[in-house]
This record gives sequence, C-alpha cells and structure tokens, in this order.
Amino acid sequence: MRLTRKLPNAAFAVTLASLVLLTAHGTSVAQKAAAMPTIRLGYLENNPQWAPTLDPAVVADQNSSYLTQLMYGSLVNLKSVNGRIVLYDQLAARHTISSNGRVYTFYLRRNTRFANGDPITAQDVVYTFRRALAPKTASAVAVYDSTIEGYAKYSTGKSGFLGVRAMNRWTVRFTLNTRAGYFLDTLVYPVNFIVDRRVLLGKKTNAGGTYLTTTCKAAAAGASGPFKPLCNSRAANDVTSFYPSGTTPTLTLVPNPNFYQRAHVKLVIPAIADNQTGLRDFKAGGLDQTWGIPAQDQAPYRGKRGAYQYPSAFIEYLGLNPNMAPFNNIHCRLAVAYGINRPALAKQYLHGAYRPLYSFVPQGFLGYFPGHPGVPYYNPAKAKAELAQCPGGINTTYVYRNDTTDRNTEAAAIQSMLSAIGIHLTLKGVPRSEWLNYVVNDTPLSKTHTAMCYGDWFEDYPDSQDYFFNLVHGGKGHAESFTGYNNPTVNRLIDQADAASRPGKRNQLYLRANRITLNDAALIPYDNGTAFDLVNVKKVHGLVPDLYRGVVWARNNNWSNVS
Amino acid sequence: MNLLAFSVRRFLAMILILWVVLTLVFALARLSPYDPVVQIMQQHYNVAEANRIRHQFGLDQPMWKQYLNYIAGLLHGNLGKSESQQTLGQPVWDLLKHGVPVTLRLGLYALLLSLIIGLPIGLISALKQNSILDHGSQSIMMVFYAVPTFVLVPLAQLVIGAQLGWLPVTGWGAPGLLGFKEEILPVTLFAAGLTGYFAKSYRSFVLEVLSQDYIRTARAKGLKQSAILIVHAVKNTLLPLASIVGPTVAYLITGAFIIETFFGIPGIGYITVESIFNSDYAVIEATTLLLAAFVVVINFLTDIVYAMVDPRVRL
Amino acid sequence: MAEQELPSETVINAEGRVALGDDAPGAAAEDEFAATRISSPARDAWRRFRRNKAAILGLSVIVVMVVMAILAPFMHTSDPAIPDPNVINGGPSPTHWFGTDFVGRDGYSRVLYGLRIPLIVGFVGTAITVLIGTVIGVTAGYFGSRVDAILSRFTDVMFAFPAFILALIVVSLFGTYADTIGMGGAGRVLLLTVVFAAVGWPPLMRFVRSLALSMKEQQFVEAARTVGTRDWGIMFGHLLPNMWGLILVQGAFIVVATISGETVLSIFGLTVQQPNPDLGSMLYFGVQNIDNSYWQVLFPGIVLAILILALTFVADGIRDAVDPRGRD
Repeated sequence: MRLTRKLPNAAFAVTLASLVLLTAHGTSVAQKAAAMPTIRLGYLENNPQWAPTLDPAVVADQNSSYLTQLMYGSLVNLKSVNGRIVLYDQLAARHTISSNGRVYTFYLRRNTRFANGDPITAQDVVYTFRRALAPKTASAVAVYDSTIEGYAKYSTGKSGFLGVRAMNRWTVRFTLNTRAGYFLDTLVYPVNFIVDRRVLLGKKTNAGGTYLTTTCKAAAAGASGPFKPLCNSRAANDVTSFYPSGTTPTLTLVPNPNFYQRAHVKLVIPAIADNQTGLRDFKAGGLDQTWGIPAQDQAPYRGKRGAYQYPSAFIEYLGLNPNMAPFNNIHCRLAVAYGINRPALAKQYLHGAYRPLYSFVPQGFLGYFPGHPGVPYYNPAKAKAELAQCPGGINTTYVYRNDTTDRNTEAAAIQSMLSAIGIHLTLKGVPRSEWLNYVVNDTPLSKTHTAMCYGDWFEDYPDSQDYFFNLVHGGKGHAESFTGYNNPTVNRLIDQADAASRPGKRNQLYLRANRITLNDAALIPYDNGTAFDLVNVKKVHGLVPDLYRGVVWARNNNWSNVS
Repeated sequence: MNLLAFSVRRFLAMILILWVVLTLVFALARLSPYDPVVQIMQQHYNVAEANRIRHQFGLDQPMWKQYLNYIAGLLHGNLGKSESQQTLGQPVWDLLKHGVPVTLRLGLYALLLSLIIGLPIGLISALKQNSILDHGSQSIMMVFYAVPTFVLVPLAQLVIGAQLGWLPVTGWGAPGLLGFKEEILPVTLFAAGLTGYFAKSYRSFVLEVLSQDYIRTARAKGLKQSAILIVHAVKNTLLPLASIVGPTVAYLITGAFIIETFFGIPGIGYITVESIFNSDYAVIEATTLLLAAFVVVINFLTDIVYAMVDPRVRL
Repeated sequence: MAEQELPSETVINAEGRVALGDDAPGAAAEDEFAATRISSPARDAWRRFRRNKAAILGLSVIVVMVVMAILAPFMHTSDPAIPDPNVINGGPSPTHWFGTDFVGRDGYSRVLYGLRIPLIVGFVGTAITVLIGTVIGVTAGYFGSRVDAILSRFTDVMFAFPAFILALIVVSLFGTYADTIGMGGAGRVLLLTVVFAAVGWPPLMRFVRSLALSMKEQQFVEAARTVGTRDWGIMFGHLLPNMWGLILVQGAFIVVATISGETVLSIFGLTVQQPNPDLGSMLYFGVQNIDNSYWQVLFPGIVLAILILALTFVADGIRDAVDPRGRD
C-alpha cells in the first residue's frame, strides 16, 4: 500500500467519471460550465490530506507535477507523438538557438493569456525565473536551471544578476554558462512554469509554496495552462479554498478561457490511496480511468480496448561497491552481471509489467540499448566461470527498499537467481526512508560498509543527461552515484554527450559510456517499468498514452480534443 | 480528600505527564535512523543544499537549544513548521486542524457503533452462558477482532464496492445520501474489532456481577430476573466498563490510520504515522501531544468518575 | 470467589475454601464429611475446565498448533524461503496444498513456519505484559496513597505515550541489528516481543488496579489481615486468585492485540524480513493479490482466526472454571 509519491515512481492512478452531456448551445458561461462533461481523474496519494504543492517553483514530486501541469504552461513543452517524445513551442510561438549553443531566444505567443486576462509577457517570464531561483524561495529543484548564467551566485544571494532578460514585451533571451543540449528539456519541468507576476508580486514565497497551495483564488487567477481551479468561495486562504473541509481532497478544474487551446471538459481529481484501490473504484464505475494498476492485476486487461501499456521512465539497477570486498574484484562483479536473468525477472516474477533493461536510460531515450551483445547478459556458465575467479566467493548482504510488493519480489528473485550459480546473498530490506540513507550523495556505500545495494531512478525531465549525470558519472556532486564507481573515460564521454546538441552524436556518446559501464559491472541496470492504464473509452475520448507524463493524457498535450 | 482537591491534583499531574511524554518523544524521534533532510531532498540530496535546509530548520543547533525553542514555541501556542518534503514549511497546526475533527468523528461513530452492538451481545451471551448463542456470537465477534483491518478493508472494497457495487469504494464528505453511504463501510469496519472486544469483556463483567452474593440474595428473595438485572447488575458493570473504554482510544488511533488511508478520509491518522518515516519532528511532537492529551484526559475523566462513585479511591 | 457443590451447612469462608480441608489438617479423620473428597480450588477448577467442551477443544487446537509449529520441518514441508518462478501465485494443488505466494514459495510450509512468530510474540509478549501489569496494578491498588500515586503516574506516562510511535521508532532503530541475532529472523521476533510487552502493560495495570481497589475492602481481606497475613501474602495469595479469571480474559485480548500489532508492522516493512515466513506479512502481501489469488489470504487468515478463537475459548474456559456462575 505504501507508495513512493515522490518523483521516482512507476505507478500512477487517474480516475475518471463522466456525466451525461446536456445541450448547452447559446447558454451563459456558468450554464456552459455546468453542462460540460466531467472527467474524474484521481491522483495517487495515500495521505488523504492536501499533500501536493501547487506552486510550480517548488514542485518536486509526482502528484504536484501532475496537477500543476494542468494549470500552467511553459515556454516549450513535450508531447507524445507515435511513441516518441517531441518538444514543441507552447507559450512561446517560436525560439532560436545561437550558433555557440549558449543563447536561447523565445518569441512569446500573443494569442494566449493568464486566466484573469493578463497577457503573458516577457516580464512574467523573467519574474518566473528570478522567483524560482531566488534564495528566499529555497526551491530544492532550482538546480535544474543551473545552466543559466549567473545561477550559482544568484541562487545563493551573492548577486542580483541572472541570465534571463526581457528584450521587449514579447521576447525573452536566456544566456547559459555552458553549452547544454538538454537545456530545452529542462524548461519543461514545473519549476519553469510561467506564473503571473501581477498575482504573485509581493506575496511571500516560501519553501512550502504555501501561498499558491492554499489560495485557490490566486491559482485560479494566475493559471497559464489549459485549466484553472474551481474555488470554494466561502473558505479562507486555506487548502479548503480548493475543496470543502472534512472531505476527501479533490481538485476541481474548469477550462481556462484564455488559453490558446481551449478545453471543453471539467476535471474532478480526488485523492486515491493506491493503484489497487483505484482499480476497484474504476471497476465500480467511480472512475473513468485508472492510473497504473498493480503488476499482478494486468493480465486480464492486456490487449483489450481502452487498456494501454507503454514504457515508463522508471529504471532499476544493482549497485556493487567497487571499493570493498568482494566486489573490488572485477570477476566477482561480472559473476553477478552474468547471473541476473532479466527476461525471467520481467516476465515471470513481475508478470510482464516491467521490461528487461541493459542501459541506464529507458526506452525512447538517447543512449537506450535494447539488446545485449557487447555487454554482460544472462549466462549461467559464464557466471560460474567468473565466480571461480572471484577470490573467496561471494557471501554478502543485499540492501534494498522493501516498501512495495514489486521490490520484495525482485529481491527474492535476485537472491534466488544468484544462489543458483553459487552466490549467497542475505537480504536486508529496509523502509524507503532508510534506504535513502544508503544512496544519497558522497559514496555512502563505503560509509555504511555495504557491498550491494538497490538503486532506482525516475526522470526529472526527459533527457538522458538526467540519468547518466546523476547515476553513472563518478565523483562528487552527482545525486545518486552511491557506489563510488568512478571511471574517467565514462565521465568524459558523459560530459561530452551532455554538452553536445545534435541528438545523433549524443546518442553515440551515451551508448559508448553505457557499454563501458556495463562491462565494468559496478552498476547493473536490470529493468524498466511500464505504465498500464485503463480508460473507459465508451465515455472518454482523446486520451492516449503519454510517454513523458507516464499516464494517459490529452493527445498532443492538447486538451481541446478531449471529450 | 474531597472531590475538588482530588480533581485539582489529578489535573496538575496531567500537565506533568504531558510534559514528560513530550520530552521523551522529542528525544526519541531524533534517535530514529531517518535523517529529516534526506527525507526532504530524497534522491536529489547534495551536501550544500542539505546544510542550508538544516540551518533553516534549526537542525544544526545543539539538542538542548532545539528543545528550549520548541517549548518556548509551545507556550506561545506555536506548534512549529512541518519538515516533510510535501508540506515543507507549512505550520503544523494548519496541517492538523482540518484532520482532527474528521478523525474524532470517525472514531466516535465507530466507538458508539461498537458499544451499541457489542454491549447487548455481551449481556445476552452472559445470560445464556454456554449456549450455542453464547459460543456462536462470541466466535463471530472474535473473528472480526482477529482478522486485521488491512485484510478486511480491501476485501470489503473489492466485494461490496467493486463487485457488488452497493457502496462507494473510496471517498468521504460528499453531501447528502452519497456522503452517508461513504461512511458506512469505514465506520463499520473500524468498529468491527472493537465490537468483539466489548462483547467479550462485557460478558465477563456481567457474569462476574451476577455471581455476587447480593445477587444471589436478591434472587433468593424472589425478585424476578429482569428486575435484578436492571437494578443491580448493569449498574455494577459500568465501572469496569469505564476502565476498559479508555484503552480503546489506542486502538482507535492506530486503526484510524489504516481506515483513513484506504478510504481517503482526511483525518490525522496518516500524517501521524508518516511523520515518523519523514522524521518530521514538529509533526511527530504535535501529534504525540494531541494523542497523549486525549488519552490523559480520558483517564482523568475515568478517574473522576471512579472517585465520585467510590470514595475509597480518592487518595 | 469459587463456589463448590457442597451441602449448605458447610462452612465456607469468603474465599470459598472449605474450612475443613485447608485450615485443619488433622480434622479430616473425625470429620463427618470425611468421605467427601477434599480437593484444592485448582483441582476443582481443572475439573470444571475439563467439562467445558469448547475450552478443551480450544486447548487442544492450541497445543496442536504449537506442536506443528515446533515440528514444522517434519510436517511434510519444504524450505519456506525458496522461490519458484514457475508457480508464482499458484493455486492449491497436490504439491502445494495452500498454493504459493507472489514469488512461488510454498504456502503450506510458510504457514507452518510462519505460525511460530505470532505464537512467540503473542504468548511470550503477553505473558510479560500480564506479569508487569498485574504486579504493578495489584501493588498500586492494594497499598493506595503514596505508592499508588507514584505507580499510577508512572503508568500514566507510559500510557499516554503513543505506543505505536514508540514501537515504530524502536523497531526502525534496532530491527536490522536484531536480524543478525538468531536464525530465521528470531532476533527480530524477540525485539518485537519486548517492544510490544513494554508498551502493552499500562491498560492492564489500570484494570488490575481497579479490581484491587474494589476488592481490598472486602471481608476476606479483613479476615486475612486479622489472622496476621502479611501484605504480600494478601496481595498474591488472596487478591490475585480472585482476579485472575478476569485478567485472563483481558489477557486473551492482549495476545490478539499483540499479534495484530505485529501484523500491522508489516505494512511498513518493519516486521520479520523476507524471505523468512511470518503469518502477518503473509496476510499483508496476500491482500495485494486478493483479486486474483485469494488463497494467499485465505489460509493464513483461517489459521490465524482459528488460533485466536481457540485462545478465547480457553480464556473463557479458565475464567468459567475459576469463577463458575450459577446456571439458574
């Protein structure tokens, strides 16, 4: 039942319930709103309090990202087209990149406004970034904008200069401190959603983003995306301005009349405990869409109309400590690498809800590696041969997070597979909160004398840089490089790939880094999650799998086509 | 001593107890293996940012200083600010104030339901001791007590909610008839365990009272069974009953967490438990204070009732 | 206060003991009731217990379960920790009588081995709880005034302390260390036992204290005092025997509550770790699969329910045997 509702999370639940559509020609706006079809989406939150934050500048978790995406737009955004993730101009009409790759200029769209009618100007964009990166805001996700010139000094309060400038009312220019091929992808992240300067000027922005999270009126006024919240007018500046006190937290969204792609549906989004409850609610007719269903419940729905399974951005891997016995010896590590039976794990143990993975990025990303020639794969004979060359054999503890069935299944499976070739693992399952102690920065595996630990990651933004930089690149300052693996060649390849701007070149570089890393076998990726959603297609039209958002979403991110 | 002096002394003791409990929790929470800053930053932890957050929340100060600051804040009615990632910086009272009435209401309904069903069953079981009715009803009650809530709830949601469609699977607080329907499953399942406890305990209390000499005397004098019951027996079961209702609060609190989470009921059950894993010290202390105060007040009232009825109790 | 089926003229002191047999050993020979079998209350109680069919049934079931749990390796079980990917979530079959779990481990073996945990944690933990609670409760209730004040306030502190929070933190802290002690998760089981006992005794203490308070003014206590019985003798020789029926009934609940508490910890992954079997965590993981593999909940659930029912029958039986009620 306990789920991670933080960013790295493979399961989402969205619930919909639609009402009968009434005729609404030529009626007033209020009547139109009432007559609009209602889609009930649920967001996964086992804390039945108002837990998400609705201030884009501080959004760090899945639910908040999901909800703010419906209410805010950004300069560029992502849409899922034919199984690919494609960048497109949203609030900007077009953009240009300088030849040295360090200056980005955006020309804002004129046919879209905030919900309260304010035009979206360059001043709003500048305000958005200055606010998001300000030290007072203390946003934990401001670091995604670290490529912007002046970021380091500005975010620590040492300087007022930031490389975001309004050239005129409709033009914004960004200067970066380095060439970064992934910069546009980072603009898609909620921290960069454009907010209304006039609504927020003078309002205290603090670490909890409380103003926007508790003041529905402000959120409704400053919405820059396809929807705005429907407010509970009697409530004070309190979360209950969004939903009545003492009821299940629910966000009700109505179309933003000033958004250039006008929606025609009302969204009602209550909190749902977990994806299993969501599935039951869907079966009962209380929801029109589930947001991920547990692996063991997927089989009856596969291939049916309205059931969608597609890769998600969640990956899992094993981390072996190359600075400590037994894994300081390459043969011991390779024994493990050859001993993991990825297909059996994904298909049998995990009921096909996961896919085998031989790279550090999921399917659809640059550097994704579908096959296995050239890297270790399941081969018991080779595994035993490597084990024979491992002095002293392997008899060690495997630390993993034990908060969901899938995690426990994988750990038991891995223990069993490796035991078949003669590797003895003692399982040490810990709650996720404790597992974090093992994987956060500064090579904690050595600090905790751990030889083997579970690792996972979910994209912050859909770029391979996010994965490689944080997981594979050695040295200090990388969010989850907890094993202490530090290969200079790999580091160099990743740095080059991050900076390059041509996708083809980046792909080559990431692939090479991938290959070397897998043959070093200190990091062994083994599976990639999938999303599995059910939609009541008899009632709801226009929702398709979205590889970026990991849930069924409006086709082309255009909610005007959803009914 | 007289009742007033007794009450006053008890009241002062109550305050002292709360303070001791608070201090213990303050220390204990900081012993847990979950680093609050790690919980805030999750997998994006980096040392520089971490130190900044630590400083911002005063976590780098020596323990005794943090403690004094906290007590000072309490005396001004300030419960502190949350350190959980999702509610970072929000005043703790804001987080709790909407949930407390909800949990209280849920618990109260469950308690009432379990008393209304459990006590009569216990009484009848005692009167018809060792009959099939006795064994049968007691067995059913115990099965409900034995099966954990987290098994009953999904089962009920699956069968009654999804497959039969009689009641909503999740949700709370909807207006009108839907709201009432939403309350049926959570309250009933929450009361299920308690009902068994009351039925069984009350049965033993009634049997105990029925055996007293004065009851036998009254019977010998020829009073009818029902008269004896009403006049003597039930009255005398109230005291031991009072002494067991208090501890059920502990069950209500832990059970609330499961019920609230599954049914999406916006009470404080979830936040109480989750704050431990987030090492959200302010919330842990606030919820402990609330729960302890509740328990202590119940005990206090129980003791007053005892003292009123039985003067020997007033030391 | 026990009643016995004796002629109405028999002198029965307030404790219900036959004045003859206990207080005048030499009187038996000249006693007109010499033919009557002189027995102690304990033997009478056992006699009554034996006649209570439900209680005997319960006792047998518990004994059988304990024996099966102890002898689990010899009860046609396989290693409960070995997964088998070919039979994941498999239903009951000739090779797997109770089906298999989410990684293909044999359900029957896991139930038998897993039974050990609730038995140990439940019974041993409750024994400790009852011991502590009774001793402190009787002492506080009997002596009154200062002693009572100190003990009661101390108990109040323990009582007010949210047991759940204490249990969560202590098990988080020491759980993984405890795993290194003993085999198959025994160390953690011990930790859980101690933790639950430590937080479980305050309600029982209050209950026992209230009983002691109401009993200490009664005649039989006066009588014992007059003959010079010391305080401790009164407390444990006179008060306690009249309480333990009621205490046992509460004790049965404490066993169930302890087992439930241990089960709830499996939600947080703090109870016995994979792959060691445990009824509580089997229930928890089984519930995740309840839509398609109901047997994973059914069998452990039934075993647990039977255990608890048997326990309550036994508790009731003991209570009835010690203080039988008139079946008027």
